[in-house]
Amino acid sequence: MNFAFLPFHKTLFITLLLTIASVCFGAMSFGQLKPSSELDVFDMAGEGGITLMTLIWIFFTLVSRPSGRVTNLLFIGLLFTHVSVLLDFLDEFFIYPDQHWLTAIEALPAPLGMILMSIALYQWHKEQTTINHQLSRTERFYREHSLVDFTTGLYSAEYIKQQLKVEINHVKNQQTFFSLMMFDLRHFAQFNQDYGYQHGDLLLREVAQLIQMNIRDGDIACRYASDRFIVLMPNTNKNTAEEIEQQTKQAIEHLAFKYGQTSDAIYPKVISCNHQYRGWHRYEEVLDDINGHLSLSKQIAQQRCSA
Amino acid sequence: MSFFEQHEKNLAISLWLILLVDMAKKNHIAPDKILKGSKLFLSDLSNPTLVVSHQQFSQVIHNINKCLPHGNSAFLLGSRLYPSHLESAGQAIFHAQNLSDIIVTIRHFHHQVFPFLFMRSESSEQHQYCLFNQAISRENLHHYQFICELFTSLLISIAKQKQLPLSRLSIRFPYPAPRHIEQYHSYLPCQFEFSPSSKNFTGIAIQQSNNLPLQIKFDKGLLSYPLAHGNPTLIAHYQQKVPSTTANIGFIQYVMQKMVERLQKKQEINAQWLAEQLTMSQATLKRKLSQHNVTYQQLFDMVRQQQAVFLLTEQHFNNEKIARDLNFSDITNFRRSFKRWTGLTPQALKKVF
Repeated sequence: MNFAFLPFHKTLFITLLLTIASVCFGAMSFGQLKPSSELDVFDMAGEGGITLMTLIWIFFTLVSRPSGRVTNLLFIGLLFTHVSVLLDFLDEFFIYPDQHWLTAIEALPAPLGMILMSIALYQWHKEQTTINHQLSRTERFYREHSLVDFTTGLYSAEYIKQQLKVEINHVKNQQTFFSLMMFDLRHFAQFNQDYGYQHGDLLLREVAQLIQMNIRDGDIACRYASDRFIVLMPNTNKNTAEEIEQQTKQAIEHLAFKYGQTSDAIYPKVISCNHQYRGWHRYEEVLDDINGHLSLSKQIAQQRCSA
Repeated sequence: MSFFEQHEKNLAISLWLILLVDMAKKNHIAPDKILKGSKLFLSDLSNPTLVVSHQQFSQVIHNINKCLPHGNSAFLLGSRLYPSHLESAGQAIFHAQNLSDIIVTIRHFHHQVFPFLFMRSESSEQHQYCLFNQAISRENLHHYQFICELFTSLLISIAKQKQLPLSRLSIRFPYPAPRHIEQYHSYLPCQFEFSPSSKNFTGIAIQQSNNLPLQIKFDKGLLSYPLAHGNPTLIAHYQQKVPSTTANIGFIQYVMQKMVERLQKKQEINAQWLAEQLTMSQATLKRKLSQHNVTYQQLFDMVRQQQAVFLLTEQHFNNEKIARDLNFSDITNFRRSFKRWTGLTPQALKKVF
């Protein structure tokens, strides 16, 4: 598990501890300990479990979110709920004087917390919509975090296979078409040997970002494997694909990649290809075909080089 | 000449393990998960004289396959080994003048470059074939696939650096197309194909893919194609630095080579003969073979099956000639055995390739 967000939530953790401490202190000072014969084990276990669960929820919320308004709202909502549940749990151990105010308000924080949490969830929904928009050039319809490639932050080949399956079905039914483009960095193995694998990974990441910047909303870019990238463009014909391919290629070849602190720049060379498909083939055949097109482009480029 | 077994620690591949552990770290996987069950510790890896057994490495591969499901680890490792991590062997290959130099060098440094597979050469009129089989122990398909991927990506990175025209190479993998086909597309810029899997009516694969060899095929002209950085004096220098490692032969390699030799002489092969060759009792032989995940019959079948498939699909021999070459008394017998090995009749197999 990744605990990178935890240091940002120090104040929230202190708030949590102080609240729990004051609730326990309040209960102890106002109530008297029950004799052991009156303790109900089942109630204790049940309510104790709920109390623990709310704590776990708070922990996971904080672990998985950066600080901000939505996080604070979620935290406060959960904290209020937790206070109610905690008071309920402490009830099992303490007897309060009749009609004590603590028993009267015991249930109040829970509904308040739930209202706050509902507001927080609505805000979260809005936040998620924004993030989805940000992600729109890397994913469509379907999210699966285990398919993300660590190096580039794009989805891996497994994701494009699933998308292709969906797209091929769609295209077949609607009688439309889609296009694929592929990019392959030239001499990447040599680059890795000359500058090291860390810099190779950095280069891949930057190229991935450039590809994302140069495609349209609705297109999705994935890292195919190694130094090869693939872009799926729904409803796109050959001419448009060609245009976007050239633009993206130019953008990549104008990247002045820097390693370390020097100002020396390396301009990556890239081989690219595109093709339009109509959904007549299985996705394996489509992938074979686009890779075939790429090898062809590579051969042409090599011949041009030697000539 | 003698052989070594799967539990003997004589593989100097600590650099490979370091690269694998590094790869895992990048994917947020702890090193001890990769080394789990191999009786190796992270601190051992920095010891330059570390030697491991095939058993230990096999366990590491098992862990890698489990923890890193993207299927690219073998390819990444293969493309990073050459030239620096192969030491003098890498240097010798670096200065090879042509493909036949490379093949000779790989043979010479077999134990250093790639001890897990051993090579057998075949040729037809126009083509040269290199066939590779597991040398030390017959491992399961996942292991074999990893080894094949590792070896081919290593070869391709050598070929790329030497500017060998890759379009003239073609590789046949001994298993059906895997899920992570994208890695093959990206790492292997040459022709490649997979062996079809034949399934019986219940859907269970009959043909065991770890029975087939990895096959690399190229036209004979490529053997003498001049390569970049060729320098004969430097090769000789590096080759002399390391004595030939022909004495270090894996158990399976040893047995299979004996069988092939005998088959070529058209003499009878049986378990008793084999035990005599290895100077051990038949019971010991049986135990040793099972430690390497194989039985006498399986090995014998493997040798004949590989020959038969090669003669059939590459040399285009007819059944009669193949049956004669493989010491079968008659064609019916051969066809029956062929069906047992591959699940297909010779004619049907010819069609699927």
